Formats: sequence, C-alpha cells, structure tokens
Amino acid sequence: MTNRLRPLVAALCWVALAGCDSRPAPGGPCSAQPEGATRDACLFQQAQALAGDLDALRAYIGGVPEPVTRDLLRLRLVASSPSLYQPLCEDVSTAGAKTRCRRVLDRPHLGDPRP
Amino acid sequence: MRLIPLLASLVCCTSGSNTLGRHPDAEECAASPHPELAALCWLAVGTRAASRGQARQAEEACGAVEPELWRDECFFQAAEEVSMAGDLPVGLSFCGRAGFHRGACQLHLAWWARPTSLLEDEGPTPDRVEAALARIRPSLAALPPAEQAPAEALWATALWFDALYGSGRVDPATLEALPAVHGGPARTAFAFEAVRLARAAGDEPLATVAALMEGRAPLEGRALPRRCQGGLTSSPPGPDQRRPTTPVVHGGERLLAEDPGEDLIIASLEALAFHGGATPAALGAWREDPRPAPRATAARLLRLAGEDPGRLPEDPPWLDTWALGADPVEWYRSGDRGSLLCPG
Repeated sequence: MTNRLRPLVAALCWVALAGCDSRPAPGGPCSAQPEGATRDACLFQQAQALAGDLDALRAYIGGVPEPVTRDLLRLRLVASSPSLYQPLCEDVSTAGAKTRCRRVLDRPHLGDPRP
Repeated sequence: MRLIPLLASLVCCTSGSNTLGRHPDAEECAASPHPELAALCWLAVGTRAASRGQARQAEEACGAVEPELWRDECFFQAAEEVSMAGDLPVGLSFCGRAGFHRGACQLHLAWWARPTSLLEDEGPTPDRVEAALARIRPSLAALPPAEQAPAEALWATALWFDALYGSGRVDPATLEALPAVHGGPARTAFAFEAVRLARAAGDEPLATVAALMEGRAPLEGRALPRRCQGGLTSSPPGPDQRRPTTPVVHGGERLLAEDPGEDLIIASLEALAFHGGATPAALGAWREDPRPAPRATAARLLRLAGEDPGRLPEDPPWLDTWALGADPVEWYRSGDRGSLLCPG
C-alpha cells in the first residue's frame, strides 16, 4: 500500500466502523427536529434502543440540551420499566422530577423482575 | 411556550407538595400526553385520596392505572396510605388487589399500620389476637395457597409485637396454653419486650428471661413511645428451609423450636440482636449450647454483627447456610435512626 492510499483506507475504515455502530449519538437524529412531541418521541425511541447499556444511555440523555427534556426522558424511561431504568432517577435535576423519582427510589421492589 | 406543558408533566404527578404547590387530578391524568407518566399521575391521585381516607376515589384512580405494574403499585401504596389513615380493613382489601406486590403489601401493613387497632380490647390474649386474625384472614385468601400460612404467621407476630413491645410490662402467664399458631409469635414479642426491660434496668437479659419464667411474676418497667420502638433486624433471604421458622420484625425470620423453653431462648437471642447486643461476650456461651437451634441462632446473629462465629465439629451442615447467608441487617422503622432506641 502506498503512502498516498493509507489516509484514504483509514478514512474508509473509520466510515465503515462508524456506520456499523448502531448506538445513537447524543441527540442523534432527533436533534435535527424542532422541540415538540415528535422530537420527544424520537428521543424516547432512541433512548430505549440503549436499554442494555446504562452508561451509553446516560451519555445519550446527557447530550440533550434542555434539562426539562432530559428529566422528562428519564422519567418516561423509569416509568416504562423501573427494573431497567431505576438508576436514572439518581440523575434528575428538576424539582418535580426529583419528587417523583423519590417515590420510585423509595420503593426498591419496583426493581424486582416480574414473572 | 413548550416549557409549560413539559414542566406540567414533571410536576403534575406528585402526591406530596411540589414546586408549583398543586396536586394532579383525574382530568390532568387523562390529558397526559405520555402514557408512562399518566400511570404515575393516576398513582399520585390514588395514593393522595387514600391518605385522606377516600377509599372509593383511591380505588377508582388505582383501577384506572395502566400498565399492570403501576396498577399493582398504586393499590400497594393506597393500601399503606389508607391504613395509616386508620382504615386497616380497606388497606387489606387494597393489598388483595396489589397483584405482584400483594405479599410485600401484607408485610408493610403488618409492621407499619398499627394492627392493634384490630384488637378489641387492651392487652393481648390468644383469644383477642385470634379475633383480630379472623378479620385479616379474608384478605389473605387473595394470596396463593403457599403464601397464606406464612402471611398469617406474619400478622400474628405483628399483632403480638404491636401489643407487647414497648408496653412496659410482660407477664409469663401470657405464654401459658398458647395455641400452636400463636406460640412462636407470642414468644417473639414477649422476649423482645422482656429483653428491652432487662437492659433498661441494667440486668443480664437472658438470665432475666429465665428467672421470669421460673418465678412466673410479671416484669415491669418504662413504656416506650412508639417512635422509639425500633432496632436492628435481618431481612430475607430466610433461613434454611429444612428448619421450621417464624417471623421476627419486618420480614426477618428466626428458627422455631418445638419446646417452648428453647424457643423462648431463641427469641431472646434475636431480641438481644435487635437491640444491638449481639456481641461475642453475650452470645459466645450460646454458640456452644448443646441444642442445634440456639447454637445456630447465635452463630447467625454473630455473623450479622460482623463477628466470626467459628465452626464447631458438632454443628449441623445447615448451619453454614444459615450463618453465612448474605443476610443484610436493617433498621426497623428506619425513618429516624437517631431516635429509634430512645435511650433512657
């Protein structure tokens, strides 16, 4: 391989690898959408795709710029599956979300897997 | 302007006070744009109604909750709230609708909802406790058959405990001619109060219990305010299933011996641990008791206190399971640890 081709191959590899990574980037495709129900639904859907990777999920939510939208996303996830998402309650920052999360964190049985 | 509905979503569904100082109502829950948050909203409406003793409204709100996971939780929380508001029979009926959480619901109500309100007169006797149990049994019918007997033992223990512990008086006559279902529970409550009174008087607790049973005279001392009736307790996982057990406080279990005298020793050892007295000095001798159950109990309690109970050649094989289990120690009534034991 000549020296001239090396950067091109490297770039192609990077593109290929990035393309294979199905994890949404913070904000991801949703960030292009205007704030509103459609964007909320997009964020929720993208976040759910990260269910098995709490660190990645936290990073994804952290990439959402508005604190209220971040907390709304966290609460929706926790409410949809407390056993999966209960730890997200530790991250909420708005007063209303904290109050609601306290009700979840105080109830450890909500994290019990159901048959 | 988008911020307003978002903020409303975040604050609407709390049952306590919130940043905007308002509480959700059925209309808000029905209008919630997010079904996940609507569930929490209905839950808040249901538990708030229950805390005000509004059973019908609570039932309607909880019945509206979807999915099942949150509906179960709503009835569970409503059961707690309505019981704390003084209506234990309604609380029990809500527990019956708590689905997946029905067992935990029974446990919470038994230990937090003053079950003595079901006793028709002061002072526990087997007859009175039995009458109270008769009022509880219909709600136990909602449990799977295998869970009904343990739940009944749980309620019997809570009733005896609530009536005796902190009362400032124990009378050995209470333990005479007990029906089988009341034996373990009554001895547990008796031992917990006798050990407390002995410690408060500066006496050696287990010797005091032994002397008490020999002399047959009541032991009296200072009663405790309810807020001070706390201590250390172990939570499940329970002991070796090959051995009969009986509930202790708040989900704990202890070994149950057939012989009442031996059983009272076991209960007293547990009582000692409840008060933070599970030390090698206090339990060491019991670790060498010829009877397996007191020996195993001493080993387990030492282990829970962070001590090494050692291993004796004559220890039965199940003792390892019992003593070495990852059994966390928790504070019973842990809301205010500072005043739990209220010394003096």
